[in-house]
Amino acid sequence: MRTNRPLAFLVVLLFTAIVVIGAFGTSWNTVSELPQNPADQSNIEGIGMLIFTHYVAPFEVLSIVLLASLIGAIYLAKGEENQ
Amino acid sequence: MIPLIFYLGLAALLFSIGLYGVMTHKNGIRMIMCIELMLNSANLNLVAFSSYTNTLNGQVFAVFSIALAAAEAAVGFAILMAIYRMHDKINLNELKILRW
Repeated sequence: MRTNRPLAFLVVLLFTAIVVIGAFGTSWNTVSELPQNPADQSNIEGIGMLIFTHYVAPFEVLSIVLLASLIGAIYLAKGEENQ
Repeated sequence: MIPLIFYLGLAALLFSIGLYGVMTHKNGIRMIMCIELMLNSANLNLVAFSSYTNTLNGQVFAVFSIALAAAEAAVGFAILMAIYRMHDKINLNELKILRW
């Protein structure tokens, strides 16, 4: 396979045009209702509460996935001579 | 407050840069880095819409997405390292071991 840079650039340009036209063509019609309260800017506490109340099960599953993938990565990256 | 459309435009630009890198580069490490760029643009969209709807669910999704990206990058770099150790090459166009 030989990479075709102009073709790739053309495809990416087309993709960008489609996404930008779609984003600008959509009427995000609640844009005037953005929260203006500066006290709402810090939300670390809210994220922590959400993770440990409403998203506990996905959080645990994700931790298991991360652990398994890291163990797999260590096994793959380890040389074959010292296994 | 920055309007939502600027975030969406920046995310589209980042995704396009990543897509161009994936399509043109032959080095596997560069391709993985470009995939990370595309994932980050998706995370930017999640956070932008989370702030736009004044909820926090999108930011939690972004945290999950970042953790999955870390797992994917670890496995991807390990696979590339194993391939480089076996075949002494990193150019993905010359590798034929994943074809049938």
